[in-house]
Amino acid sequence: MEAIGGTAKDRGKNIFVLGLLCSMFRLDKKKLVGIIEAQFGKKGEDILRNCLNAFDAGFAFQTTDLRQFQFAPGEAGHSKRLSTDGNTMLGLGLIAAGVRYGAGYPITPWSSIMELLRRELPKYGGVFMQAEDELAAVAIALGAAYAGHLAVTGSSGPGLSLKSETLGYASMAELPLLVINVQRGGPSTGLPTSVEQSDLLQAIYGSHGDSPRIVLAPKNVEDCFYIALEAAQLARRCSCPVIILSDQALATRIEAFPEPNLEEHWIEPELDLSDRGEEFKPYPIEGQTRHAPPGTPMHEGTFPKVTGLEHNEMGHPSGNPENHQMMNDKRRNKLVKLAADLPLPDVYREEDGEILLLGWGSSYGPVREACDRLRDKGLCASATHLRHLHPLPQQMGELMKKYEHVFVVELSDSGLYGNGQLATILRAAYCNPAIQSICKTDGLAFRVREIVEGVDQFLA
Amino acid sequence: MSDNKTAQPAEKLTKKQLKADHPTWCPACGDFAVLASFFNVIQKLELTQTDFVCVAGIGCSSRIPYFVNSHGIHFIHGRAVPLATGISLSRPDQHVFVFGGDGDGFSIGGNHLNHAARKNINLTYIIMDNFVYGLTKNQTSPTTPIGRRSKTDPNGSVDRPINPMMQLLGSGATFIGRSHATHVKHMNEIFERAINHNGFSVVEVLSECTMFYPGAFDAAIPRKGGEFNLIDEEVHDTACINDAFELAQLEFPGKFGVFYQDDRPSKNDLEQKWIDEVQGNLGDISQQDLMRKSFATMH
Repeated sequence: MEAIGGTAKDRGKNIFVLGLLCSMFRLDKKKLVGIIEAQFGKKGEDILRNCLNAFDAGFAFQTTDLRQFQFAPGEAGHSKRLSTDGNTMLGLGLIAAGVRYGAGYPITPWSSIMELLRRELPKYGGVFMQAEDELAAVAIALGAAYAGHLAVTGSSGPGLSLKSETLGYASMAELPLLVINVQRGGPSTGLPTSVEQSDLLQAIYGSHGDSPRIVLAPKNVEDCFYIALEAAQLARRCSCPVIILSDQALATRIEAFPEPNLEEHWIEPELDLSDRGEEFKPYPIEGQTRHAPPGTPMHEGTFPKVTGLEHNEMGHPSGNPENHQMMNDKRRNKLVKLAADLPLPDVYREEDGEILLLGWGSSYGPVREACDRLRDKGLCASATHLRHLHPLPQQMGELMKKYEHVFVVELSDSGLYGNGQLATILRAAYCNPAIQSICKTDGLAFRVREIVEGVDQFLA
Repeated sequence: MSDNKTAQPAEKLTKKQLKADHPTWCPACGDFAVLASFFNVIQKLELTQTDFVCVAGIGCSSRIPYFVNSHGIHFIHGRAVPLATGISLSRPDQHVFVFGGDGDGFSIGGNHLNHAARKNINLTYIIMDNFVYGLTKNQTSPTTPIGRRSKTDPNGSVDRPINPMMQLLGSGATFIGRSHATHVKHMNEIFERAINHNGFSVVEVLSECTMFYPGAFDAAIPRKGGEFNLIDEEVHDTACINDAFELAQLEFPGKFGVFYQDDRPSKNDLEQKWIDEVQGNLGDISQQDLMRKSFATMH
């Protein structure tokens, strides 16, 4: 930069690279110059001149040893397209899902969701509160849930650990709650700005006692929006916590996709204080728990209690052995019933039964591309992607049985017994020896090559 | 909301309507009187069961939601205040009452107490302080005096106890009262004033654990030779925090009454003000169109 009259301190390095990229990818030079003029023109002539010089220098830089790319001009489809990151779509998805209350505590890479909700929710008549710690954040959100709203809290791995006690309570008390976990490299403070999918077991099992909850994971930025809507529906249906496992790669990655149709994808928030009828029980053994929030009038004037002690159908503490067994069955069986209604994930490429690549979360793209490469090499490969991690779709075992090899591709450690976290669960659930792991924990997203090599190594 | 089928009380609730399970407390526990006083105040203020909610964490005193026939939630240890915060902020139509002991409030939940107080969340928190862990059978609590023997301090407690009034004044609570479970009329008065306060109102009630720390508060019971000294509000200015700090430093058993009251706006008021302002600026726009506006910035 100094060679063209600027100093290292001045703006210029990024603009130089922009010029270089413009020539490499044969981008519209006029348009880019226009953007630079609009952006830097108001900051003074000197700065603008410096920028344009840097841009030209980059554009004219010798690139003989670099590949040149040519893009075909895009065509505008019917719907408008958005380009943004996963955290933004998750935050907006929550609002579209009817969430108006929540609380959180800052932690990378979750913070930008709470910033969005804090800024946006007042426009929708809601409140998002910055709590003093993770324990308070989940408790505040659960308070709003008890009060009859759909509420959200969120964090990253270390914060989810702190919220665990209250998650167990929400399972026991059968309160709906949305919990976002934007995963990062762990354990402990770990790698706060790197990607990992190693909170799966924590999300499914993290608490004390048996505390069933639902765990979902979006597959790309667009899906962050729709998974929030689905999570809201499931939380209402099952009256239990629903954890959405996003990850650092999805949180910060920018993708382009069609704008969601809000007429179709919108849940109106509802506070139901209507009369629950004479037979109302907060914890019916045979039925689904539907709490009556504070303010709801009660027949016979007997008001319900919500509690973390084991309780009978009326919410009264009960240490009765049969009752505890029945209530544990009740809390588990609602998820068993849900599993029967969950659709199987789509299978990419033909289902002709040799190799199945199975991924979850942000590895959607590389897994599919790896599948294509394996096909190119003459291997009979298919790919699928799980969005419902707990419970698993009921037919999942049948789907995997069709394949000689199932490679579970995940960013978690292969553990003491050679299986990543999802593979461990799938093996335990289906006792299928075809299930193998392709794991890594280097803090980086999967490269296509790494997945292909994982398959090659196993088959060699 | 009610029809002729629902048995909603039309007027003042009777004690019978307010009572739920019989308390599981030990005979002569101070908490019985606190509960009775709470019923008195609910009756006097003519609140009905759809007007209020009882919230508690873990401890003997935290069992109260089971003993009050209203909506109630029994939560985990130390987090009753943030749970109540979520209810209070999202349901302005409800009076939110939090009940708990010294362990729940000053130890495991101490940080939440500080922050809910400074944020001035609109709720009423009644802390039944017995200077001991009773539910777990006689361990040292954050208010146990130095030298007092317990199962975790067999040679006597060595750690300086919390001074609840100093703690609460420092944290920024906007209504701070202190009472004693053997003086029901005094509790009635302080509870009523606490409930009528807009913002974070907290009352410490010395409530004797007859099982593990009998006689702890005799020094404030006249018939046992003690003195029950009231704060004279003709002299003490409840708006003056320096005076309140002075009162808080009196030797035990100190004085009883309202130490401090401040009418700064509650968090609930401030959040609602923000909502009103931002919605006023937006004008008449549907929520879906509002989100479409957000989408438009990403095209």
